[in-house]
Parts: sequence; structure tokens; C-alpha cells
Amino acid sequence: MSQYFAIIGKDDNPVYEAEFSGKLGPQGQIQGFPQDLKELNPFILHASLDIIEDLQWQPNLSLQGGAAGSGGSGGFLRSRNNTNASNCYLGKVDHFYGIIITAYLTYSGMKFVMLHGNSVSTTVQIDDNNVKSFYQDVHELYTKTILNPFYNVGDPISSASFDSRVRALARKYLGK
Amino acid sequence: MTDKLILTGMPEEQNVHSTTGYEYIIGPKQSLPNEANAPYIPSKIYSESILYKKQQVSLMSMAFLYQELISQIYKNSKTSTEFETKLSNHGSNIGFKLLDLLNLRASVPSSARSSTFLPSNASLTGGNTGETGGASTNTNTSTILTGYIDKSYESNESLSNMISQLRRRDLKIIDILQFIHGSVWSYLFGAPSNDLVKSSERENEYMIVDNEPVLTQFISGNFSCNYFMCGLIKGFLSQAGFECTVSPHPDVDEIYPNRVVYLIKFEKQVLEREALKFGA
Amino acid sequence: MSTTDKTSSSHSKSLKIIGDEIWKNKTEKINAELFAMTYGSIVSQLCQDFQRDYKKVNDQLFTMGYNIGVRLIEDFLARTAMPRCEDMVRTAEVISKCAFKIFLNISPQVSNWSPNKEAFSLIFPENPLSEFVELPMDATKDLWYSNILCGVMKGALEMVQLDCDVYFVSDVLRSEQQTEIRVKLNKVLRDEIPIGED
Repeated sequence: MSQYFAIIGKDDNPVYEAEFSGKLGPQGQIQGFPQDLKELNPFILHASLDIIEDLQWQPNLSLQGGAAGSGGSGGFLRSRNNTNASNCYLGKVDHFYGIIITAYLTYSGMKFVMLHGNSVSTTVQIDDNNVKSFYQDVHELYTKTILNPFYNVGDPISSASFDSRVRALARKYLGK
Repeated sequence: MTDKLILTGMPEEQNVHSTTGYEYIIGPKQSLPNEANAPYIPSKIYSESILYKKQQVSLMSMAFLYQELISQIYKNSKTSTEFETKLSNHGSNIGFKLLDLLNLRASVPSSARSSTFLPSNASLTGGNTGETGGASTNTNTSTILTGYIDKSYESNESLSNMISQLRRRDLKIIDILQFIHGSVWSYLFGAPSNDLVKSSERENEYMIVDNEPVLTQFISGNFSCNYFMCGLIKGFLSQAGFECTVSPHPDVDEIYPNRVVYLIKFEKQVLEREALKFGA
Repeated sequence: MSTTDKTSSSHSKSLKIIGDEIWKNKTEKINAELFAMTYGSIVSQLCQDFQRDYKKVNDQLFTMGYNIGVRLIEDFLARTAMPRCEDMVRTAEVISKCAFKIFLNISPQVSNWSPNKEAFSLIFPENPLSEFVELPMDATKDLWYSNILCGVMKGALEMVQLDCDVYFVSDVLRSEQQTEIRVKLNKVLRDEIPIGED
């Protein structure tokens, strides 16, 4: 499985982007997004931002199927009476052919969005627990980033240290 | 972990990797499978824990710094509005940071917090606080020895490892104001603010009352020095999606000669959104 | 307090006790992170104002520190009731064990004495000003992030008739081994206030 991950700022500007690819294929090729689809990734991602903004202020968010169910395919969001559940992780918010889009919101309204895809166009399965953990750890890294007095909110995060840590988290949680 | 090896040779190592971060113009870079064991790029901020260590400095140090900030801004401002805006912007910078920081910290269960919090003076040289803090004390000792933050922070003191359920993002005005009145104020000044009031006349107005403002207590005669806290409140709220303006108003009596009311006026769209999502 | 008949190590020991005691029982305190973030906001704003001319930023931080130092010394002397220091060795110990302890709750190590005992270094294993800070690439050569500390010491020492140079030698923020400030005595100013000044 491959992922395209982006942090999107308040003006829908990308603050950080990365692509993670899974194992090598049978012929030793990198299993990323198909080249023709890869160019579309930012557009697919941006198309989901409206949905995320709508979910941002939804009073009773919770994951259908529940984040607790391991190996679930990431249920769509439904309004439900669960007032304690966290509303940072939005789970699966959209899909585009075989690609699944998940999202997460920080307290400061930064959108963490990820496209989960395959080189073949079969629908991917995502593990909500792992995806949520990935987002949550990146949220902590992001918080450290904004604590730095030299970082201005909304600027691209160009730190190599940040980048290397995000990629390590992707290997830890998503590199299956 | 391999990270520790990297750290000792830090200056050279850093140069090797210095240009490999995200570049906006180029777009996303691909992680390749053969990078599986790529080391972290050493970094002070990313390897330090953001767990609250309850460290303190003298109030006088803060007061001196604040006075000097005020006098610099005053010298460089042509109008009182410019002064207020500049001072407010400094506060906003801090409000932005506190929003994610304090919400994340508030998500750590209090049981985990108390066992991992360092004693407030644990990082002093010479103090033999040794056995009390377990893993976190070890980390601390190595900080003193090397003069640099040890990498074991990374695995031991990641906040997310302690969080099972993140605190909810606040969606309602009253919820986020209560967080400011309670958690933010306690974090900054050791106690909640003295009052949180909703205006009876105007629907979009709320007030946070501080009987004895800490930062301005040593500054006499210029009430607009309270704009720093206004900026902090405004930065916190605006960044969370509650756009507003905040201004300080005196409310003094014999007991509290410095009492200040922070008047928060929310933008129209904030109230409209709330009415739409929660019913008026 | 008679100090002449004691060894220098017991000097510094008693100074440590004084500093610790005042910090613990007689000092109003505030969140160190608020302090660090406020300072961070000041430095980053200066970098913007001076268009990343970091030498100017250093100077401005030094000036701000100097202004603080000349006022801070009164507060320090009032709270510690410290008698005049007889030499730089004693002065260094007071700065480390009492002044830094009381104001920032740290005690930098005194080291690297010059042979004539008029210049020394303060080594900072920790620095509450630089919490959460990573310098931008272009600042690692010229910016002394915590330069306000040098100004504070310069101003405070001048008020007790010690004309000193105070400057950063190295800083871990620049990936250097340690954070070190050098204090070098130029001359002891005469007590008399020159005519025409007050």
C-alpha cells in the first residue's frame, strides 16, 4: 500500500507533503501510486477538504464501526450520540475509485489528510487504529514545530528533522 | 536505538542531511523501502519531550522582561493603536502555541501525568533527586552530563504514547472559554481566572475577569499594557476557529486596584455557525 | 558576614545555600514556559524587524538586557543583602549560585579562569530561555539567541562598579558542544560619581 500525506493550512495551502510507499513488488519495483494517478493526488486530496470542513463543526462525530474494531475498513462518519469520543481523528472521509481518504484535525484546525492507494485498482483496506496513531504522533511533532519561535503558523515545514520523523512514523504504523 | 550513535557525531551528521526536508516548490518526496533504517535527523526540539515539567523562573525575571518589552514597543510606536497591536501580536504568538500544546497535555490521563512529571526542581545541578522519578530522572541526568538532550526522550516521553483518548476539539464558545478560564489560566498563573461572564446585553460578548493581573502588576499608569493577554486570548480562540477581538477594561475598587476585564467579542459568523450546528 | 577566614569552597557552599533558600522560600515564581515563549516572541520579532540582520538582533538583545540589568541589581541586592564582593572569584560564585539561581532557577558552572583571575566562563547545562527553540539555518552562524543574558550581566556588574565584557563563546543551539558565556573584567570603576552626573 502507498500513502500520500499532507498537512493543509487554513487557506487550503499545503504546509507539508510526503509520499510513503510500501514493500517492493515481485519484480523489485516500488509499489507506489500508479504514475498517471500520482499527479492527481493533490487534486483528489483537495476535493475532500470541503467534506472535512463540514465535519469539523459536527457536534457528534464518531466512527461508524468504531476505531476499536481492528482491521476495519474505516467506516464513514455518522452523527451519533457519543459525546466523549475524540473528534480529532475523522477516519475515512471520502474515496476515489480504489483510493481511500482519511483525515484528522488538530486543535488549531490544521487538516492532516492522507490518500491510501494501491498500484492495482482494488479498494484498499485501512486499519483505523494504526492510521489514528500515525496522525496523533504527527500531531505531537506538529505541536513541537509550532512551539519554535522561528516558525510562523502556515509556513511550509521544511525541517529535515520533522520530515525524517514523519517518515519513520509512516514506517511504524503504515508500512504493512 | 541507533539514534544515540548519531547524536555524538552531530555537527557533521547534520550537514549531510541538512537539505532533505520538505520543499514546497518541489512537492512531496517519496519514502523508499530501502530507507527503512534511515536514522532520525538530530534535532533539539523534536527529541525533547513536551510533557509538562512544571519548571519555573522568578516572577521578577518575567516582570523585568515584560517591562522591557513594553518600553521597546512604546519607543517604536507612533500611535497608541500601534502600541496595542504590537503588544497584542506578541500575546497571539503564544496563544497559537498554547492551543495545541495544552489540549494535548490535557489529553494525558492524570494518572500517567503524575507518575511521569518531574519534581519541579529536578533539573538542578547537584540536586540528588536520583531515585524518585524512574526513567524520566535518568533522562534528565544524561541531559546534565552531555549538555545536550538525550535521545531516550524520544521513546520514553512521547506524549501520544500516554494518550488513549485525545481531548475533544472544542466546538462551542462556552466550552473553549471554560478551557481558557480554567486550564490556560491555571497553566499560566497557577489558578483559574476569577470569573467568566456572559454579557446580558450583547449575545456575542463574554468577559474574563482577572482581579490581580500578574504581568502588569509592576507597571503603573498604562492600562493598555494588558493587551498582551488580550492577544494571547485572541490568538488561542481565533486559531481554534472562534474569530474575535479582545480588549482590556479596568474594573477597579479598593481591594483590587488593578482588576481587569478582558472583553471578548466574537465575530458574527462564529455565532451563526453555533446556531446552525447546535440550535440557537 | 565574615568571609576572610573561610576557604573558597566553603564560600561557594554557603552561597549555594543562600541562593537555594531565597529561591525556595522568598521568591515568587511563574511558569518558565511562558517566560521562554515571551522571550522567543521577542527574538523572532526582532529578526523580522531587522530583516534577519542577526548582528543587529544581538545588539538589540544586549541593549534590552543592559536596561534590565541596571534595574535588576537593586532587586537582587535588596533580596540577598549581599555584601560587596572582594574579587572576581567571589563575584563569579555569587552570579552562579545566587543570581542565576534566584532569577532563573539554574546554576551555571564557573570555569576556565584566566591566570590573573579576572576572566571566567559560565557554562550552562540548561537554559530556560531556549526551551523549544531551533534556530533557522541562516541564523546559526551569527545569532546569539540568548544574548539578553550578556546584557543583563553587563548592566548589573556595572552598577556594582565592575566594568566587564560579557559575551557568548558558544551555544548548543548552534550545535556547539556547550553553552558558554565569557565574563572579563576590564577595570574596577571608582566609587565616586563623576561631577555633573547623578
